Amino acid sequence: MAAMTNVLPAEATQAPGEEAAGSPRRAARRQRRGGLSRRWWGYLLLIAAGLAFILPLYVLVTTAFKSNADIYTWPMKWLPSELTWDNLVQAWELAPFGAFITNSVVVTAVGATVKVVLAVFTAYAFAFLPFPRKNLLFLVMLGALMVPGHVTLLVNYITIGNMGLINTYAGLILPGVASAFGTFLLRQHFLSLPSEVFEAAEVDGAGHLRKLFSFALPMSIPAIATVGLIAVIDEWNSFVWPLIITNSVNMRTLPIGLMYLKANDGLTSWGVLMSGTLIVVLPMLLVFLFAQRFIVTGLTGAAAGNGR
Amino acid sequence: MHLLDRPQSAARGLGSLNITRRQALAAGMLAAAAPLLAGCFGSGGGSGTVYGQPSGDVPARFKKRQRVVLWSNWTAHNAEILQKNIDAFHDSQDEIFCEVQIFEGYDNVEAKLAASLQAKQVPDISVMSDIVWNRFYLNDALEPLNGYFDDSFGKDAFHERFLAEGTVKDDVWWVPFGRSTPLFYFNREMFAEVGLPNRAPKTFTEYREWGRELAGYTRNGTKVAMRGYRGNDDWYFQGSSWAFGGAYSDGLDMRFTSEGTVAALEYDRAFIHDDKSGYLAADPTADFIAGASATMTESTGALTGIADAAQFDFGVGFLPKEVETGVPTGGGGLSILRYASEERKRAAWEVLKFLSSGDAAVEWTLGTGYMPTTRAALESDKVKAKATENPNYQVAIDQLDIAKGPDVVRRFVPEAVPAMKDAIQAVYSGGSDAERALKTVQTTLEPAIEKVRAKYEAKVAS
Repeated sequence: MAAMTNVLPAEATQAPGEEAAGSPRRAARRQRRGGLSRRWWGYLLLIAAGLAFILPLYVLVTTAFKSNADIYTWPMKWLPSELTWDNLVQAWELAPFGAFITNSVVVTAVGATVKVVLAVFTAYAFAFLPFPRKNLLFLVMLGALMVPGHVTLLVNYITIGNMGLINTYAGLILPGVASAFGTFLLRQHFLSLPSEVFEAAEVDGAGHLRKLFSFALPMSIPAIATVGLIAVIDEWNSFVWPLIITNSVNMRTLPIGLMYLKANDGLTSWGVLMSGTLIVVLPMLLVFLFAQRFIVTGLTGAAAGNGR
Repeated sequence: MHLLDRPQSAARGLGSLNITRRQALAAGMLAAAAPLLAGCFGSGGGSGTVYGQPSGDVPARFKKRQRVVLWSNWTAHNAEILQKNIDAFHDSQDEIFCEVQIFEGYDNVEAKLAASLQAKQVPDISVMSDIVWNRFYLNDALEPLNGYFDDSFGKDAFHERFLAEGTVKDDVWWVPFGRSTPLFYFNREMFAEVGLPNRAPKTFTEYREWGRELAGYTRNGTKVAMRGYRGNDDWYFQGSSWAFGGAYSDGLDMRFTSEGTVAALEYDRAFIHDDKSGYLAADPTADFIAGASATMTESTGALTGIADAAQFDFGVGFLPKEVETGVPTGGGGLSILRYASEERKRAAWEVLKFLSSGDAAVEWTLGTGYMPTTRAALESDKVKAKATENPNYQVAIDQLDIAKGPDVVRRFVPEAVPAMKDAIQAVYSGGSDAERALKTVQTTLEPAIEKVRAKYEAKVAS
């Protein structure tokens, strides 16, 4: 098209009407003619990418229910010759998974809730409150987004240690509650909301809290759901911080609990380890399957700045 | 700090009603942050310094007892055996309660211990690997144990050679607990089918010849390799470097580029890339059990687990020699931390004593497969019976006579093990030139060695 416009500028300016009528038909024909043959590589990529995600999950699930004879064999057996619950039972006996689940649920529920609440308030402040050096502060916060969590690990540990919170729920949760990513995502979303609504609310005498709870929040459900879900998954999967901040077995979370199953000298029993992993992964898999629609719309919407 | 005082100073210029509130907020944040930040720069502990005890979980019936915290790297079945012994300890007396806190692997215990020293908390006993304890010794974190031995539990309670490894300047800092050496494991059925002798190869040269004879042998339609190499541990290479007449170091003087060390790594390169007899395995033990490889070197500590899992008859033997023998000792021992209070250290000694004597020591040795390192275990009929019943186990004990602790650089320089892992991985997977890889190690380690030299010379060498 570009070439044609260059050569025949006059005709091109007259063309739009004809173009608009012609193009859908032509596009449809193109699609009919070459649907599969033109897009086969797309499907191939899709299948390859799908396999890359599904295969490890398949191996995880089958290994959890395979007998040792089936696991330690080469070439690998894709279909277990018999299914056994032994691994799951053994995993449950080796480590107190009941306590791990309780801890994970407490940390995830409280941690994610506080994270979302803080992110909502901070984002509101960044989006709607006038205060000096707002942009600079925002830049600093964006900087925090770039700092890998492990850099602050030791400092956080010492701080929490001085507060006397090692091996407590507070110690587990506190350092993670400020979410730069959540704040960023929500701020961008809040900025995309129509300003007329808030002006009208102000005229009617609404304060900041009223504007936040009655206007900003109801219009931002997908974005908040996204931040919430990411927070839940983060907290649930978090490994390094819970590893160093907890000491005793009764305070461990699920991902740390897994290491009680991995033998560090000698032979790791993969069946048992995979059964444990299944216990850890399953809840998040379910959460994700039920909520992935929110995540997708929330992420694309909020990031593009017009997700409503 | 800038982050906090900027909004404050900017606000001052504005002069509206909100400022005081903002200033108060900012000042509050500053005030809250100051003690936390000051805490980062903790002072080094003097001799009388006492650090706190890590918190944990004390069952109600033990609330009144003196609490001892033991940090351990052992998980899965070994952790169960340790806990059984601790339970027996709780039943044997009514003054001390010992809580085992687990961090998987020696590296994690080390990292956790280093962090907790910063936070001024220390456990009372810690399991440390044969290399990790040296670094805490250099930094004055360990308690000398000479003063604790008495007539009822003297130094002769431990195997002489193993106790010597934890002794510096005539004082004991680290007592042996879960010690091991590598063994050579081979698949008897495969050796028979290929027509190889029913024993471990005597020398590395013989091993290589056998590898060529095995070439082309298949099982279940897939090729079987002679050896799956381990890339995430240089322990086995420490052994073969000695076998070829080389070493990591002599004192703190590096010998990575000595003829023998280069020959040892060049041997591995040729074994993998010229003969195609070996490969870099993600989990060599699992591959051996699955029948993907015919031999491997693995810790004595894995003997019990492999015997349970293997579906075939396997044998063990001494590690191959070349110009010399090369068998490193490894595994873990127990140390008491200096910055615990006197009562805690006394109680910790009682725990250590209980674990190293009587039935506890025997149960630990039998249950884990670690070497018998205490007199209680060495002289026990049960351990002797097991060795007679299972000749593989006797091989492990016999090999002890030619085993020795790792070289000084590997023990005292924290960067040595990672640098060597990089080198062996480059050679095993990428087929890099052995000499060049070891030269890189030497240049990488030079500054690291200078860093520890003064401390080492003051506290170990002189």
